[in-house]
Amino acid sequence: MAEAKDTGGYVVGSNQTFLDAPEKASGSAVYLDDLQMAGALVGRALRSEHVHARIVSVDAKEARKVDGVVAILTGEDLPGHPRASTHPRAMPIIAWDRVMYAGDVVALIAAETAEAAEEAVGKIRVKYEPLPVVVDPEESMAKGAPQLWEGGNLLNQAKIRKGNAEEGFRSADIIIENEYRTQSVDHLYLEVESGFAAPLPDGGFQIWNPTQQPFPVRQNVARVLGLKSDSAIRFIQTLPGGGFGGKNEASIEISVRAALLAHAAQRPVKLVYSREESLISSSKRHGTIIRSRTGATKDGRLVAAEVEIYLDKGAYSASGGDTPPAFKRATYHAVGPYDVPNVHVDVYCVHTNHPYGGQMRGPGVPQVHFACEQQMDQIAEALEMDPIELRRINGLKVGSRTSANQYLPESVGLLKTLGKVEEASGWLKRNGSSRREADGRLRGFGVASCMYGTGNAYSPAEAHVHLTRSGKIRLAAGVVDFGQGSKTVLSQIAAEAMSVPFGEFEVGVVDSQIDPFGGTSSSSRVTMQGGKAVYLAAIKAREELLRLGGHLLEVDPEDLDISNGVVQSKSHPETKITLSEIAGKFVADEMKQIGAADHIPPPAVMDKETGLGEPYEVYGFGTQAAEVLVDPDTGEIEVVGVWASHDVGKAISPMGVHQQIDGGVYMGLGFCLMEEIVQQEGRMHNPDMHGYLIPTVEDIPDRLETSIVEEHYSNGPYGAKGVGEQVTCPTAAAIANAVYDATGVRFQRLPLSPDRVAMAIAGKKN
Amino acid sequence: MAPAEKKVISFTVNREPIEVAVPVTRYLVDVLREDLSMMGTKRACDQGVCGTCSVILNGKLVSSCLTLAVRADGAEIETIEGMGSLEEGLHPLQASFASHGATQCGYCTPGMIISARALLDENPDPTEEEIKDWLTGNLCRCTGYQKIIEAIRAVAEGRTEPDPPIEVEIVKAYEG
Ligand code: FES
Ligand code: FES
Repeated sequence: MAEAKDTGGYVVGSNQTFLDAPEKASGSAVYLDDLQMAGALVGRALRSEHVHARIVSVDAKEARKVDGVVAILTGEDLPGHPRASTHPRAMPIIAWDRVMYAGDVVALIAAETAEAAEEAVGKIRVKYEPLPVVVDPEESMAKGAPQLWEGGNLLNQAKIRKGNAEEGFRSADIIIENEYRTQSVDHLYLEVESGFAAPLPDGGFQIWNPTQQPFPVRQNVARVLGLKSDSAIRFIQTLPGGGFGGKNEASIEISVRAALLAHAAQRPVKLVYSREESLISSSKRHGTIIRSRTGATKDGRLVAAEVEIYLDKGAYSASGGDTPPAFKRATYHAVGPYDVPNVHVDVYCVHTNHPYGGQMRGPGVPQVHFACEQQMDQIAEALEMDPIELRRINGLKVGSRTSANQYLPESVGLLKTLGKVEEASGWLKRNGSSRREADGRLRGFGVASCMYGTGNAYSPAEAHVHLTRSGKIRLAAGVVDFGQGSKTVLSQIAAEAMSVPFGEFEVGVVDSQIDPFGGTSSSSRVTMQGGKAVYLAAIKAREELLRLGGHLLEVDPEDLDISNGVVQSKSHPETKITLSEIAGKFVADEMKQIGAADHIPPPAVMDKETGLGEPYEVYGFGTQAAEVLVDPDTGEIEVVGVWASHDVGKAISPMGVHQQIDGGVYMGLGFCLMEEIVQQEGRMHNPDMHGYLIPTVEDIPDRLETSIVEEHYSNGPYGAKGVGEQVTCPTAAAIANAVYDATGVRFQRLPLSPDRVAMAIAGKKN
Repeated sequence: MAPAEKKVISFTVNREPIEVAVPVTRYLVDVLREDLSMMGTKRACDQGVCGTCSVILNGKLVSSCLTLAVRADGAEIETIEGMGSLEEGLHPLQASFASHGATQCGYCTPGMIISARALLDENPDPTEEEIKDWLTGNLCRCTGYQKIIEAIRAVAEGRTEPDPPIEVEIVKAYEG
């Protein structure tokens, strides 16, 4: 284990090697596909041949005869036709009457070997009757569109009405109006979806999954299997090989499928999707159509914003049911981090025959920032104003009101991030705009800011602190560390609160027999909301250690303190006792709980009519600048520099925050330049890693400078908010603005692939 | 389906001699993972694109998902497990990846480290550009590669700790 660094006693704000990093670097970290179990069967899914079709019949007779096949399940075998959640539009676990996208599962197989499963898949005969397909969310709302759901293709709509937009536009000196389109992209975590289920002797099941949301997985497996209580399921998390939001819903459906096979076969079953299945079937970042109209006065004040957004929901509803996170977030981030008096937003979340839209790093928010931050750039240009200056004039600050008319009493670091990026990038001295380099490439600079509603409203978290028999502290917070480092960060919070050295901390994977409900690892909530529960539990654990220590020392706990993990008398410092001595006396079992607490974040208070209120308890803010070189002939864009600054409240682990910014910029760059699920009539053209491009090491900027702004938040642990998602929200707009600066061509459609860029530049010349 | 013809092959993995009967169509990654239960080597694409299955075969970096096991007959193979372990101590590259924060989810990490090892064997003091050229066959979805490059440069300079230390601002955090 890595030595904990000496930080002079203060752990919050120090860089600690992530608790599981040595294990990961050694190659001994265990991921789901690394689990091997005697007698385990191989699971397989048969996917739909059609994008939209009625299922006439499924014949598995021949497949059942294949040597080594142990169980085959079709839609007819599942009473009540269960879905991945209780929402009526959720994905069927096995489709029975209709397939609605190419990723639908029509049958499940468990076999002794992968070869037998493969052979059986080929022998299942399914008769389909193709149905008309709809793939554009706007067309899907039109009269006469194929009806995917009884009650219409619209899943939900939302609006904001603040002030009077029309009056606002009348007072504007300039109005910028545009349509933007963002594409569907995949998380492309390197570890594909995978699940393991094994029957237990008592009729229950043990489930392993690399999920971001352990307890919903357990709940839904218990529900579909018809078990009396969730506790019939023992859930053990495995390390996720990446998640980015995708291992929320996908982990439920695969766990349920593995469990159904294990139930049918009464044997352990491992189900691992192929990369192609993963790309075809898993959730995607919602594709969008965004129409924006923004008005400003001559002196650069925004006076009105009108935004209309269509989200491609795909075939099924997923997380959030009627109110998917991307839908809510698109609504409340649509005008960006600005103080706009008159706001009119309409958002439509519409079903199509595409893969379902799910949570992906900042659901809904990178899309709307791609639009609003290019709007800002065009206003700056029209007013001949510096884009950073324009943002400074309108940017949210303490005391401002958001587009939802939410008052911001504290923790608004936007202007500081603007200042940091301006300085670091040498913004005012850039003067290289539209300059042609010796090699013929064009140089440009762009900037974009962002806001991000941190955490989920009313999203409770519970945490337990244990003393182990050897005198270590084991945290059980029920939340998944999927690489962002939450085990480490939560331990830092507890170490600080308890005055126990960081090196004494242990955190395992989430195990439903040990961990309390900590909520999901999503919405950048873990540090702030899970961390607050940990902080409160740690304060209680500290008191408990004083009580237990006082007992053994025969000293009044009032006279005791903890310093560096030793319980010590204040009046007689030679009177002291170590944690392992306390453990030796009081911990009879493997460990003993010494502190527990829960934290219940404030609810969202919203007005249904106007959409105004408090959708999120607090916001993160950030600014990124990009420098690009564009080859006008090939259309290739090289991002040579990115300067990024983000307000995270308090960086519990500065290294962890820098890591998140690095990764967020990287993903934003992929979103902007190359990533795209290419589909035609619902069929995916690039369902593999040759076809679905993500940035390689060659694509990252030569210069990436990241900085942290800390505007403490009073309801976060040590002032912390969150970081994981905001960091990817402004990148695409910053690059697009830089490309405009270089070429004079505005790109309103993602991605900015070389062919599109070259064509647009050629078109402009003619 | 007729089962594929089997062949007995022998090779060394991390200097340990192995003999195993494998179907002639089986890839090295499956032999390592399924037959030998060596799970350090990962897989993510099965197409030779991502590098998570990288191993060193007779001194050369290969994608084990594209290497038929029978082609490894008589070969010397090195995998992540042979570089170092928690029990016996980490290889400097492993330690450096950990302390630089060059691993997040960790799924690309064994392949990255094996790849970096092959680079340093060939070029003990690579420039940042040379590291980038070398790593194009190893994808990472989490880190943005920056800290991976820094971790490798550190080892080339004989360090495993970040230098200068990543910006640390230790202020007494205010209560709660
Ligand atoms: S799994 Fe071999 S290169 Fe991707
Ligand atoms: S650390 Fe997750 S893919 Fe590299």
